[in-house]
Amino acid sequence: MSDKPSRISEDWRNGVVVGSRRFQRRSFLLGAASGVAGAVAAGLVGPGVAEGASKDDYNLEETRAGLRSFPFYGQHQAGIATAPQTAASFLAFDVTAANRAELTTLFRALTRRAAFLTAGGTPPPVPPNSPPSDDRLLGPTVLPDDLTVTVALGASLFDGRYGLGALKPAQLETMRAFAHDDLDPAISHGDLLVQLCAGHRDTVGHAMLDILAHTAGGMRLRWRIDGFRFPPRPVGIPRDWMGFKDGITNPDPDNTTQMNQEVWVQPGPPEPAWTAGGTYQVVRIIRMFLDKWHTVPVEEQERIFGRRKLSGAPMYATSPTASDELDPIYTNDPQGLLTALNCHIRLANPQTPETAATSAILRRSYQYDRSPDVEGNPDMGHAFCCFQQQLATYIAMQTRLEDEMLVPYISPNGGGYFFALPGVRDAHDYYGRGLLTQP
Amino acid sequence: MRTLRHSHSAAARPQPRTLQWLALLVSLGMLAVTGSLAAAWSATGSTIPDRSIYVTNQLDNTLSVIDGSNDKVVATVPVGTSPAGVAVSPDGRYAYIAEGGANAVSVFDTGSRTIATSVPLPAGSGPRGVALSPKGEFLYVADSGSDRVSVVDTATLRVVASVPVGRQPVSVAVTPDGGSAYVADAGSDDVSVIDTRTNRIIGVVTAGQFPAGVALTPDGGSAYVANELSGDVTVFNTRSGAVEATLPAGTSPFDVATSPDGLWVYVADLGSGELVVIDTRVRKVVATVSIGPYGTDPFNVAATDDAIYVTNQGANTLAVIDPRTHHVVTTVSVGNSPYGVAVDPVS
Repeated sequence: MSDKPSRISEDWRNGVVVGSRRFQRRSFLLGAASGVAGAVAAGLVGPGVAEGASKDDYNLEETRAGLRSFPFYGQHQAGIATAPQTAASFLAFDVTAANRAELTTLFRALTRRAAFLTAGGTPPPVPPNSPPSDDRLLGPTVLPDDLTVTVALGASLFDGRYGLGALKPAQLETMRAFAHDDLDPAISHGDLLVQLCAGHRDTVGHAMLDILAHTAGGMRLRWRIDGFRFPPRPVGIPRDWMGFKDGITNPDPDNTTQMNQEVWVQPGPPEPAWTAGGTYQVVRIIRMFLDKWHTVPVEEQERIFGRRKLSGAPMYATSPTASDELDPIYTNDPQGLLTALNCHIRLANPQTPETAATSAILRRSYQYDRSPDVEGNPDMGHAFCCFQQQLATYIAMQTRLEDEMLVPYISPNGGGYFFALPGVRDAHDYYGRGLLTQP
Repeated sequence: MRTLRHSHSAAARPQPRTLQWLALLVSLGMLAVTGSLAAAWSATGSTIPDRSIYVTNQLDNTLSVIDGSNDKVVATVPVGTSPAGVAVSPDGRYAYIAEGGANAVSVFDTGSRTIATSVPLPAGSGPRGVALSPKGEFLYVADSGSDRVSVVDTATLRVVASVPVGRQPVSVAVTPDGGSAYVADAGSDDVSVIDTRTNRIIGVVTAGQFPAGVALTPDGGSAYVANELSGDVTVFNTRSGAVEATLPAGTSPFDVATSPDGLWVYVADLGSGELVVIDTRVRKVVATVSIGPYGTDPFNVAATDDAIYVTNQGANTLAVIDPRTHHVVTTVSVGNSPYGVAVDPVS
């Protein structure tokens, strides 16, 4: 099956009216039932199936129009290997389902809404004077608009409530504060994380409201961070608030071997069987003290990061137009004269044999901008997000970074550790089925 | 160690002249070779000599041994920690490996394909580049962490001198007469010249920014220095110390080697993924060979008459390039993050 985003056919966009009670469920079948089976097979009609949506050739017009969709079904969830969309929300929930059966109902409902929202379609008609089936935020038709819904579980879901303790992913734990963290419980942790990413802010908001409405009995929003990605300035990887290109070094999402080594959990002990195809997700809310940062001379900023500010290239590349794709190399610089030993990127990946196993993560971060604090200071920063096959990789990396030179300019104050579920395979599958159907 | 010392001393006895001529020594872009090498090869009637290529793999702590007749990896051997530069003894029996992460030089027995012993260096040495004297009696080790060059007597396997040089030395080359060693001091933007009889500094030549590799022409008359940060190659006269040319050479030239006939200088350009070819007669860049895209990271280069070998740190490969056609003939998968490369033509 194609792992490219699908394009809505005219047939599909014209929509098919179905009975409201069966709509959500049957919507999965619409593509096949609408007489465009060939298009379904080619991945042209959502919800499609993917090995894991990934880097792609964006068709700008389709993206602008919100017509493009990422396949929902697949071995892995979309929104991980997917090239980051412009807008995102990270929603952390406390699960309130009373028991395992209600939890299953919750996961099924979440699955139905995610499958519909990511594929798009016409909301079902409702009788007069009934609540509308859709808020019409996206117009007459729910546009897929590159939406991905990515569901992950926190360690707290595996406490005694649902009898899942023995099935907890081997490395999943509640995020502990690193040195210089200032974790606020109100914006940390959670039983369940929903990551919504899409081409536009309204699509993300629409998806959030839809999911909240359909899962109200089973979970309650605990905290949320909205993020966005900037356009390339002028080329390459987008910059963060600090003016540096962020998230340059990543595994190649198209390289299955590399993704299977570094991101996707593989079958076999010590991980419980149901986790295969999932991945550990880390979200960290990192406030940046930008007034302070922007008084630091650029040379010093570059020394702190270990990259050139304008180009994003490693320190050895002096041209302002050097590519941000150049690899950092420190091997002939053991004293850190060119790339400081305690700069951000060198601590993240020191390129030594001892750290080789704890240096590869898939970065997928966003920037945030929230209400100012009580003193009137802007609250802007990084909604850091990364995925890795082993949570220990991230913890080891962040432990190396505990005393990095960036410390005075940032304050990590929220987020959590989660386990992003394996993909939903098909219309008969649902989020966490492998977990919930274990004896 | 005792056994090794004994056997090595025996091995260090004078060799037949042809063997000496065949003793092509390449390490870290340093090429020490007699001018008669090409003649020796043609005299034996062998156009493609049997040879072994040794590649250190920095991140998985191994040495790849490659059969030069078919460019296949024939052995992958655990070595120390963060192996960096490598040099092969003129008799081909030993490969000396700078253990960048372990402050030691490992002595690899090419016959048994095991580490025979290890020469400890002081803590913090951070050895990177290595070069042997032409007859193999002394190994010069650029200790990038301690701003020194360790001189190892290969017969006794003892450090007989520790020469203070410039800041963060990473590459070293020895003149074909064995009289001088040239050290690229990446951190102080210069090249230190060591008189190997006294093991003292007799000159310092200003290079470009962050000189990362140095090589000498077979006549010993010119030094070529790859300046990683200024993106150029400094050419200076070894007799006068005068800089005679500064040649723009790629984005981030990282290492340099001369061809055995002295006509060509090859520069590994880390940034562009290219090999830059300089004609030493006109001192101009005459060709660039694309080895791979961004992320290939050409690293160290070694040259023989019929092949140029380039370790590609990012691609985890050894590229074999035909010096006549400038085509990549083959690409050999090696270990994780290959660093140094040395060629032994007498395998």
